[in-house]
Amino acid sequence: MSNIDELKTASTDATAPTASSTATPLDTVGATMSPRSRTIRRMTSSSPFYMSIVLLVLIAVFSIVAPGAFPSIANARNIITDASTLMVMAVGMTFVMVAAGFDLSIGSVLVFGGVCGSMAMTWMGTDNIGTVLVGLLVSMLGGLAWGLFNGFVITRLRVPALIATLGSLGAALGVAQIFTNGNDVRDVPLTLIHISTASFLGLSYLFWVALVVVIIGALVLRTTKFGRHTYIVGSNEEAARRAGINVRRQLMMLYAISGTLAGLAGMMSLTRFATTTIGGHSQDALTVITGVVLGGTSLYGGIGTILGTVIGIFIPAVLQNGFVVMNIQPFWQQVAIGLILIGAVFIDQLKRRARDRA
Amino acid sequence: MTHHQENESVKHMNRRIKIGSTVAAGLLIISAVAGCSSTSTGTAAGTSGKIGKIVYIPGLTGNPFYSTVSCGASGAAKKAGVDFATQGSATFDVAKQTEIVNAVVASKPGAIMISITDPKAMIIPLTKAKEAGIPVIGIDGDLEDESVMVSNIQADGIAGGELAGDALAKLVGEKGSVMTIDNATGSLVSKARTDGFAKAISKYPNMKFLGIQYSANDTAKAASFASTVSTTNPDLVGIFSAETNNTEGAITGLREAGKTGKVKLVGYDTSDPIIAALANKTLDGTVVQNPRGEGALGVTSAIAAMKGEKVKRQQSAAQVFATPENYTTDNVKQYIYDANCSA
Repeated sequence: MSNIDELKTASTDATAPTASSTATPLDTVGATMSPRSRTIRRMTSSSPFYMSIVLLVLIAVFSIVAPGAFPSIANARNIITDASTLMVMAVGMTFVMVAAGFDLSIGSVLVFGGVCGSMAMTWMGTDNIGTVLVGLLVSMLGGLAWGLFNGFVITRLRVPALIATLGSLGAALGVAQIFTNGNDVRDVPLTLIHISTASFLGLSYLFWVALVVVIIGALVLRTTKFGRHTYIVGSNEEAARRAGINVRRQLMMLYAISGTLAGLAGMMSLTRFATTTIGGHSQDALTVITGVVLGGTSLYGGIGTILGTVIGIFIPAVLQNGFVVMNIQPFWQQVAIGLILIGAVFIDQLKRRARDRA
Repeated sequence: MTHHQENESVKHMNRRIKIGSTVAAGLLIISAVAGCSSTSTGTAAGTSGKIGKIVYIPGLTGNPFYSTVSCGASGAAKKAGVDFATQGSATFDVAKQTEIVNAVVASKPGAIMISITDPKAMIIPLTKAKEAGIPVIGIDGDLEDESVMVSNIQADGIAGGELAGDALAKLVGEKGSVMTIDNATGSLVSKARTDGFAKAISKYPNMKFLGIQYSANDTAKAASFASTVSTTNPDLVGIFSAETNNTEGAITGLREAGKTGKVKLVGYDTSDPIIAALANKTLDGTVVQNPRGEGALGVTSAIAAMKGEKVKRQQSAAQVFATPENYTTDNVKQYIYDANCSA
């Protein structure tokens, strides 16, 4: 155990959730500070902190420019509902990326999961909550299957994650199209449509599903052994192996999580639109990765939090909403998100350089 | 820094460079591969001695309009005893369609039917088809260079857009603000529809056109536009969605914002959920083309062209405006799409 603790402080300094007494470069700088101010310092220098400021500034600016329109409960509800599906996939992506992995396949796995779920429900022919639960299960199993496939190809066949999931991005969509002959499945049970119009405490059930996924994801990543191992694998795979972590098994499970959550997102999308929207998800992986990286997860692994991801997903969502509210030409939104993404990673690099010099 | 940490840092950096370049390379490929699993819904029907195979290239696969064109064409080809196949990309993408046209031309078919993704960019690949002696029939869109295609079969988008605009104006009592949700700039078909709509709205002095939002064919984005504008702009009384995915998204967006019925929604084209939405009045109307008829007309035109007969350069197919009241009548029913070729 002490072995693992040592590794953790050596390589995951920026993510260690509590102020550790072992000297990391940042701590050395702040050696004369009290533990409390050190914690504050670490918090304020983290990417999620910068990004939450960016998010608050965006909200403030839109509220000032469009006071009668942007800041309202109804509009906040719009933004939250829009972000729910992406958020579920982003939790899975955070796990994979913290372990220095990558999953480009999620958009197609979403479609595949939705197609499997809707076909199962059509096949059953019933129309009650049981039908929907079976559809949900089948949808998530469809996602899990692709997650395990990705994990197998990456850990056993040793194909780099980027290429392996690029392959399944095409393959999963292709199989979904073979199943449906390329046509969207459009006959979903009425129960599902009722779920999409129902709400709890004024918010869509899709939001509550996303919230549960976020909370469980955050707890697992931050407080469990599984979460700690994920950070260690992402920081240094070789060291993790030497410390006795079953790296293959860990990665396999991470891709399985990402696939299963994409399957869940497929069912959420099906609930929202009552159709499988086969053609509409080729950009999902890039949108999710943008959010995860904006939230401070490192492309090189070992660093990242679910809280950061939540903030990162909301930045593009708020930007799009604000631009539409202000009726600004929509192309500017892509420009703005592109520049914010580059800026976020640039700041991250500056911090790394400063730390490496220290 | 301890020796141990230094080692880690060097390793980390090496890995960083390696991963970095992989990521860069990967991201380049991703855009190319993202939506390019091409689907073949080939239906070989009989064999014919002299007349070659007809290949239909839709704008994208899985779209109810194009799928119904394919159904109509497939049926007509079967009747005429001609081989027919459909080859398309899963995304509406000029580069992907170019690749497919090149591959199809290389396979030496008798004729090509195509729903172009871009009126300018597709000139070069289709000129190659023409030079190879393969007649090209346009379905739902012409090239800017009108010498390339033998014939173009197309509903009049401007007239359809005006139909939608006048219907929406009537629904909202000829006053208030309206907006359009469209896929992307660059498509002449969509531009005709949105232009026609804006032209119709400009006739009403008490109506204001708020402009167009582009969804890039993403249903979720269309939903977001509809919910955002309907909650934040109290003057909004109506939305025109120019394609099926956008209509489906707008229905969801208005429902989620609690504005169904308060903000009137008029679409273009149909699908099963759109018909369902007409039935439960979450959609106030939609312009319907006749894709099955266009597909069948495409095949008969292609056969005529292959035989060296004269084909009319511009052919059009009629459109109707379907509403919750009239969509079950026989007159409107025959226009409704059938992506699964059940008829």
